[in-house]
Amino acid sequence: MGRQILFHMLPADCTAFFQFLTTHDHVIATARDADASRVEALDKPCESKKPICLWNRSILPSMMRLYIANADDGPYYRVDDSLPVLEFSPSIFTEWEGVPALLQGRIWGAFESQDDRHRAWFESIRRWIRKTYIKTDAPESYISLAVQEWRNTGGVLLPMFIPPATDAWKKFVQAQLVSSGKSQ
Amino acid sequence: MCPVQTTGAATTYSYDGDGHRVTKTTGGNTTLYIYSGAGELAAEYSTQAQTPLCNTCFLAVDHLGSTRMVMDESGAVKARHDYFPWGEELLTASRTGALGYQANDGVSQKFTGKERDGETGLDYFEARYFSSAQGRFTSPDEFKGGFLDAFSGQAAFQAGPLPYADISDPQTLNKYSYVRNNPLRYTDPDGHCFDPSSCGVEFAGAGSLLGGPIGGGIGAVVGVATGATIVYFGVKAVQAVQAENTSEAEQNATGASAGSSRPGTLGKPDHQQTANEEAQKMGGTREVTIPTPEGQKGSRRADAAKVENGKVTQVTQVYRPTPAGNIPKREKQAAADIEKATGVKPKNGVCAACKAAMHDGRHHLPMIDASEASPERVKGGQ
Repeated sequence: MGRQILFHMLPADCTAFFQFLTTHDHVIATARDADASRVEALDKPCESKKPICLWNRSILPSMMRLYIANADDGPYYRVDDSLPVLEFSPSIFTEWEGVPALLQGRIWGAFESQDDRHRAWFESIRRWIRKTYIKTDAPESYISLAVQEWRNTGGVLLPMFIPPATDAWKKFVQAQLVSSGKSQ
Repeated sequence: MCPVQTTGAATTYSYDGDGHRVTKTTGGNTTLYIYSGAGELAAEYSTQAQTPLCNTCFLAVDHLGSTRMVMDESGAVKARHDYFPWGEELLTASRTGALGYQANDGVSQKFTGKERDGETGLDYFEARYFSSAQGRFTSPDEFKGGFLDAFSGQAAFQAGPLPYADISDPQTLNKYSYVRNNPLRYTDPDGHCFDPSSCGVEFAGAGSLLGGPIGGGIGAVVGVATGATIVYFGVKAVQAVQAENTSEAEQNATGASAGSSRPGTLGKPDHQQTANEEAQKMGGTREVTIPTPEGQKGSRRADAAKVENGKVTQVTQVYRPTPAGNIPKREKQAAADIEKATGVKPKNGVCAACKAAMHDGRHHLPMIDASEASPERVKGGQ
C-alpha cells in the first residue's frame, strides 16, 4: 500500500516547498510521463498541471523511464512506481459553478522498494508539511496559511478532481462558503 | 538476538536486516518466520507439536483486522476471541468454553491481526512490541537511520528527539502511545505509522463483522512424523463470511489469492501490480482519494484514475473475485460510491493472480455494475 500526503497549496507555497525539498536533499523534479526515457529536470515544476516525479538522487543515483507499449493513447514513457521516487500532483486553480476553487494536490509513493531511505525521505516531507501547514477536515487536507486566507475570501477547496454538480457536492461547497462567511 | 526471560524459560528472538523477526526460540522449540518479497509474513514453521482445532482453519476478522472467530472448513466456529479496546483479550464468566472462548486454537494472530507472543503477552508490531495490558508500546518510536547527502556526505536528515512527533500536535508527543490513543479507529501497520492521511489505515467505524479467510491451512500439516507444525498464511483477503467454502480453500492452496489485504487497506503485491498496469495503460494515477459525500464511507481510494484538466475521465477498481467468481459486495459498494462522487463508472480490473485462476476455468468474471451495489453497510476501505 502506498502512502500519501494530501494538501492544498498556492503557487508561492509550491515554490517554498520545492525550496525545502532541494535544500535538504538532492531532489530533481521531472515529468512522470513523457515521450522519452531520458530524464530531464523541470525548470519550473510548480507550473506543471500534471503529476510530476520527485527523484531523490541520494536514494536513487540513476533513473530512466519505462516504456509503456499498450497504453490507451499510444506508447509513452513513464517513471515506474516501483522505484523509490515520489509522485507530486500539484494543486490547480479552477472554478466550480462560478466559484473560484483549488484542487487538492498530493505527494504519493508506492513504497514497493522496501527502501528505508525512501520511507525516511517521505517521513521528512510529511513532517515538514504537518509543521508548516494546517490540517482541515472537509476535505481532509493540509493547507497553507496562504490557502486559508484565500479560502476566507470565498475560495473553496476541492478534492483532486472537479466533482459533478450534484446536490451532495453543492452542500459540500456551500458548507465551506458558510464557514468563510461568503455564502451566496 | 534478543533474549527475554519470563517465568523460568528464556525466549530468544532474532531479526533480519529489515527488522523482521525471523526466528523465535522458546523452551527448546523454534519457530521460523518466512516473509514474502514485499516483506509480509508468508509462513511459519515450528518444531513444536500442536493439535489444531481444524485441518484448515479460517479466521474471521473485525473492522480492525483482529481475529474474532476461527472456523473449520465446514464453517463451524471452533474458537472465538473478544477484546478490550486496547487489545487485551476479554474473558468473562459468560464467555464460556462451550461457546468457543478460551480455546487453545493455536492462532497467534490476535489484536489487529498482529502476532501475540504467548511467552510475553506482547503483540509484535514489526518496529516495536505493543502491550495490550498497558495500552502502549513497550519502546519509543524512534528513527534509527537516515541517508547521506550525495555531495556533502553528511546526514541529510537529522532525526532529533521526536522524529515522529509534531510539536503542534500533543497526541504525537508521547513516543509510547498507540494510534493517537484511538485504538477503535486506527491501526498501526508497522509500529511507526498512525497518521491516516499518510497511512490510509483509518476505519469507518466499529460493528459488523467481516470474514477474513486467512491462510490456506492454518495447522494444515500438523502432527506429522517429526511433530512439526506448519502454519501457512497465504491470504488475508477480506470477503463476506458467508462466501467462504471449499472453493476458497482451493483458491488459497493454489495461490490464486496470493498477496493479502485486510479491511481498510489496499491489496498487496498482485493487487498493486494490477493497479500499476491499469494506471500505466490509462496514463493515470494510482490510489486516488475520492471523497464520497453520498457514499457509505466518507471517502474511497480508486485503485487507478485518470484526471484530465481536473475532470475524472477513467477509474479502474481492482478486485479479487469471490470463490463463486462474483464481485465482493464491498467492491460493488465502493464502485457505486465512486460513481456517485465522480460521475464516472469504474471499470473492473482483476488482480493478477486471480486472472491466472480464472484462466484455468475456475472462475468467471462479471463486470462491476454500480446499480447492483448492496445498500447494506460495509466496513473496510477500498
